[in-house]
Amino acid sequence: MALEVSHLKISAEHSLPRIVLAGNPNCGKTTIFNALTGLNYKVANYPGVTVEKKEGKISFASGEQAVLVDLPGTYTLSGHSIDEAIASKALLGKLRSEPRPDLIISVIDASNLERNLYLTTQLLDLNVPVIAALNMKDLADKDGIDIKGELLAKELGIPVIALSANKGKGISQLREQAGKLLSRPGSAPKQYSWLPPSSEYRAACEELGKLELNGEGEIDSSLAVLLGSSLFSEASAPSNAESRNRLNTLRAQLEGSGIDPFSFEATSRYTWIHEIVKRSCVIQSEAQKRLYDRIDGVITHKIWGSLIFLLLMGAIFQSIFAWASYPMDAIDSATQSFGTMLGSLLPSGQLKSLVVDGIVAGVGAVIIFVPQIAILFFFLGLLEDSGYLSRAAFLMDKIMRKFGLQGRSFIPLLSSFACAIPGIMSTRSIPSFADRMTTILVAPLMSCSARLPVYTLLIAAFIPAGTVAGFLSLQGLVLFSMYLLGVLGAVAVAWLLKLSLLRGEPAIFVMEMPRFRAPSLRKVLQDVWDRVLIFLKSAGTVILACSIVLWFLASYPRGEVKESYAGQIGTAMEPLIEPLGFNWQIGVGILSSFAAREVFLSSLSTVYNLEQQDDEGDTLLHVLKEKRALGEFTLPTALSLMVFYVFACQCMSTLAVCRRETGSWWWVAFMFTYMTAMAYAASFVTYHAALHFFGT
Amino acid sequence: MDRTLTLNKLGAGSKAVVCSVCCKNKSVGGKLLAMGVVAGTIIEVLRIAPLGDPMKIKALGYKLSLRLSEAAQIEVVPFS
Repeated sequence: MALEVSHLKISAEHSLPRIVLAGNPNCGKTTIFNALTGLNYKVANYPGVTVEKKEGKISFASGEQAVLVDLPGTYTLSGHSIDEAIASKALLGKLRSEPRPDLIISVIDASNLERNLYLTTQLLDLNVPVIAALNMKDLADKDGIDIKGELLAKELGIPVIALSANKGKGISQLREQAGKLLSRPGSAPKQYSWLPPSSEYRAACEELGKLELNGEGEIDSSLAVLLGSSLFSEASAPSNAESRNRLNTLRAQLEGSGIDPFSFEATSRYTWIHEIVKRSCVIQSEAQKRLYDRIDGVITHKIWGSLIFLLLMGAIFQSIFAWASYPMDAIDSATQSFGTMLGSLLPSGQLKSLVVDGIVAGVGAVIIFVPQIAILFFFLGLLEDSGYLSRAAFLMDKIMRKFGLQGRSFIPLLSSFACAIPGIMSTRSIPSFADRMTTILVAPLMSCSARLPVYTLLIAAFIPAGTVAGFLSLQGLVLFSMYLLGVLGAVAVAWLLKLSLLRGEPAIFVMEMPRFRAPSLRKVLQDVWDRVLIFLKSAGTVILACSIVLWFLASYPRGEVKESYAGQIGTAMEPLIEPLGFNWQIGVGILSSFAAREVFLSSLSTVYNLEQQDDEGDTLLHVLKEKRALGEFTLPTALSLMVFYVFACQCMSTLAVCRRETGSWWWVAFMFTYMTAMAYAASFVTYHAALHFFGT
Repeated sequence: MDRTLTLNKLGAGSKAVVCSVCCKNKSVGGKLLAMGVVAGTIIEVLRIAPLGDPMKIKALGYKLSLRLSEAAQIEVVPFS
């Protein structure tokens, strides 16, 4: 009956015992994890999926150590999202890379006791030692809920430790208790206290365990009880006909005796939990309408809520769009002066060019994103930790759903107007795979701040300064059209993706709205630090490598630009891009701006044999106006080029981050291909339409 | 007299007891059950979003947001 578990199983590569932290989302798991590991941890992805894995080391007073894993938050062991599935697989020991845990710390939000206990009662059935970490005890006390820890421990049959992790209270007791249980495992918790031993449900589940299910052969009968509700409701689960018939018979039997197999487990567990809570808690005062309740009412209010939302979003957008430009300019000029300084130390030649134009410029191209990432994640952290993020999703869901997205896609897409890099990185809060992928794939269609210099240069050179309808600036209107074009493209692509590649059941929106609280600055800054490190480590290396390759293409063989590999590719590409109204010079510009879109300007200056000057924009503007007068660079070409930049995936950093966040080169290739194809088609249409209407 | 309704029919401020959660969409139903929306749970509708969907409810002392299409899977008996 019991699972075969050997506690403290020691294998060659994982010689340390493993402890996992399991709990609902927003129960304070991460704070406990940070406190127990003392920030000695690594963040990586679970192999093959986009779920983040946090693993660290915990040390005990005895000097012994263990591996501590922070599992993704989940409400149940039979969840359907990728995060939830990973968490239950890790707990059941079904992840190939990891052995079963030797100890589970079940983190419980004490101020939300009943719902948090649901997962705990499931963990009790796993036949692995469990400690209940009753977190946020201070909040529960304030709410007037007095939880008698020793009574709860007796009811559950496991040790219960009260904590207020964000104040550092209870951490040492938890550590001590974990160490004690690891060295003397004792008995596993009592299983199935919620289920009468002679129940028909139990018998049916044990029968179920013997069937050929999902092609995996027999599952342990205790697991069958645990996963029974999902197995029973999955009409087509068993692969062979005999098992399927047997399953249907069992289901019919249960239903015949008045048991709904789908809801029986949850209902029975909650009934048991209700009794336990009644016996071990004293509700001292009926919770009065507290301040946060009133704030919450305002923040989701029809008028005030919408206003506050617009203000907050405006502030975030402003901060990544405008405020980030100061540190970015500083990084830019620091890289340049560092390059110049290094250059003056090196003898001129190929090495100098490699170091200054390849490596230093490449490193600069990586760290230039850090301010935007840090600022966005700082604000997002504040919003998430305070509980606002779910309110924002609540407000925006209906609009976003029209485009095949959902409420939680809004902030990533808004951020992408400043830069797609932090935008894509912030899609982590979207639990549904299809919704998250759609958001990632359309994020780069939002016109980012790096496109702005390209737009403004071309607009200044080719669009007259007049007004339309008496008051709208024509130049402003064209600029606005470019932004609008990107948004419309994104809507169309999202809609198409949801009809084709990412089709499926509509995502679940059932979402907890955590209580409002003052955000913890420490936790937020810790997360900002993690994000920046992840970006530098995994995306940064790809960006650096690409920069060096691009430098090589532009510099070899040495001599005229047209003779370089980039020039040769540009020339070879000419027949391909000619229908868009582009010549080889523009081809080189497009190619080199793959490093970053704004590089287009300096690259075009180089191609046009300009001396690099500080105000290169003005000089280039001058040259473009001359070319226009000569008929070498026309309005249709300029319009076509702008539209190309709206859609084209001219940004290796976006691709590098997409690789890191999706964990697959396939999606990277898809993103690059569809965007390039879209850019090509749109430019083609624009060029020919412009030729038709404006002539050359 | 049968007074059951689906939750999506209720407006802000109403209270109801859950009588069943159906498995039409199994992921949604399973998640609701796991989050404590089981037969016997008392639900209070707090707000409908400014655009008419989703809705915000209170159950077991915490707040939860769900789309009206998801709320349609929950059968309730309203009371005042």
